[in-house]
Amino acid sequence: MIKKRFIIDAHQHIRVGSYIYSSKLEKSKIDPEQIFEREVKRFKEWFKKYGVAYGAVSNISSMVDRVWRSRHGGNEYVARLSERLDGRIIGLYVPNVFEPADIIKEKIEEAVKTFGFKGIKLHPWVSAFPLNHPIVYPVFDMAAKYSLPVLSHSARSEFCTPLLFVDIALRYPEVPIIMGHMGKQHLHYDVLPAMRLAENLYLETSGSKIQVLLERVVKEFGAERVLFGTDGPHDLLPAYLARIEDLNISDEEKEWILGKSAAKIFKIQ
Amino acid sequence: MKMSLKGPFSEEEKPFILDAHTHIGASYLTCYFVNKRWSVEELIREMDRCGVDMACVSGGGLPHEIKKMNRMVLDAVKRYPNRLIGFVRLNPKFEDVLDDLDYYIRDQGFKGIKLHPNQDCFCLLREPVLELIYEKAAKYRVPVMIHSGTEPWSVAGQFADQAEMFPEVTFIMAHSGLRNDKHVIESARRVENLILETSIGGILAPPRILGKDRVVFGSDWPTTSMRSELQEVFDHWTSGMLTEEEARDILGLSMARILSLRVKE
Repeated sequence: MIKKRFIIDAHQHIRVGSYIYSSKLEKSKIDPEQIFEREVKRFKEWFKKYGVAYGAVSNISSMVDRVWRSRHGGNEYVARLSERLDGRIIGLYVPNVFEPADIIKEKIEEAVKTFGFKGIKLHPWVSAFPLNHPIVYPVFDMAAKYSLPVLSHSARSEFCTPLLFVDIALRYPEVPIIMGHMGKQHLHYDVLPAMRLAENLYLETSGSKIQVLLERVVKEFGAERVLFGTDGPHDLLPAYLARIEDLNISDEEKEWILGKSAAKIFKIQ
Repeated sequence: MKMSLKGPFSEEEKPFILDAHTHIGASYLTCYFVNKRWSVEELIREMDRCGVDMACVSGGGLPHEIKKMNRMVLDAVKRYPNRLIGFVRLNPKFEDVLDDLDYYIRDQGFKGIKLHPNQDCFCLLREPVLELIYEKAAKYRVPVMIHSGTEPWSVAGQFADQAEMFPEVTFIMAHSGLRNDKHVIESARRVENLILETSIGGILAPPRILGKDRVVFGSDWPTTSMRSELQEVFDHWTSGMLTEEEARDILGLSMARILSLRVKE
């Protein structure tokens, strides 16, 4: 049986605005407010159904659009979702790294101080920039200044290989950097050496399914450096939880992966 | 059989479950992380724990172990004839590959062929020996399961092209593109003899999109948690993404029909 646990889903998305795999033109014609309300309903029902404590959420469209349509490019919807979900949302701000450095910094400061964002989300593959490029330094400068963890997509893309994670992590050792998907099933051999090289690297589990890799990570680096995520929210949560419950690690280590690691990194009491 | 999973059915209505993709020995994705080799007893124990009735099994591990793996699978199938279905792992670069095919399929009753282009260094559509293997697969009426999602060796377009070239062969795309290939559904729609297997890649499209018996459950155990991969199908069923008929087909009935197994529906 799957135990009742304290769970934080460290990797979630709201979808208001542009999407990566758009297949219907009609969808873009629907009023974004209408889509936002659907998303609020979807998140509320999901949290109620599965009893997950918190979700770290970013908006997909902020990563897809190169030129933003509003001051914060859709991040506003995450802030508004947070207001509607009774404190369950950990807002992750997606900066537009193609904007001037001073503008990036100004907007991140606003995101933190005005909208209450708790972390940064980067998607180098979707947005098409190398994770360690100097255009991203202003983002990490602000992450360091406000103690914001940075979650970034990893896996098969020249823009976000584990080596680039190591490079930026060594440049900003005070910033916790979370490797979303832990290389999936393509860059999985890079995960262990990357974790060895940079102590401020963490892993997020969605998309990766290799049980023995995660067991080795826990054994060598500790479960404190692994965060559970779904890349949802979606109805495969029981399956994703079963994957963690089936690991050959201790019960306490499972608790760290499922919630305590994220609580520590995002400073949730 | 005791189950540790929750699905939208009572114990009496438990679906027939056939895991289309398992290994003994190791797997391509475990063998460079741990030196462990999984035994047939461990596979059977895992199947019992998850409520899996039958499993297609091939040997897995390092490339030079292939012949030994096939012998291990033969022994396993003989010991558990009601639970395990043998798939022979073939490397087209081996001079005696067709002899091995004949031996395991014709003489020993294996029901399928497993190919791993990435691990054994051959490319779909660029390896002439494959044509001879596919001709024999057609002759013996056995499906050919092939690792997918790894460029340039085995991606969706190549699967669809060879399925067109060999319409009598049933091709099974292991991993449904490995969560990397975004051309799987479109390629699968081009042909009728291409089956998507769910391990790691998940269910990309329900059978109503592709056609009956076009999606089969597989776990690639011991790479993944068999229980978690199976739970994904139950979750899709529970959430309504799959109808009951689709879920039961995916869980085992479709693969049973592909293999011409007689099972209780």
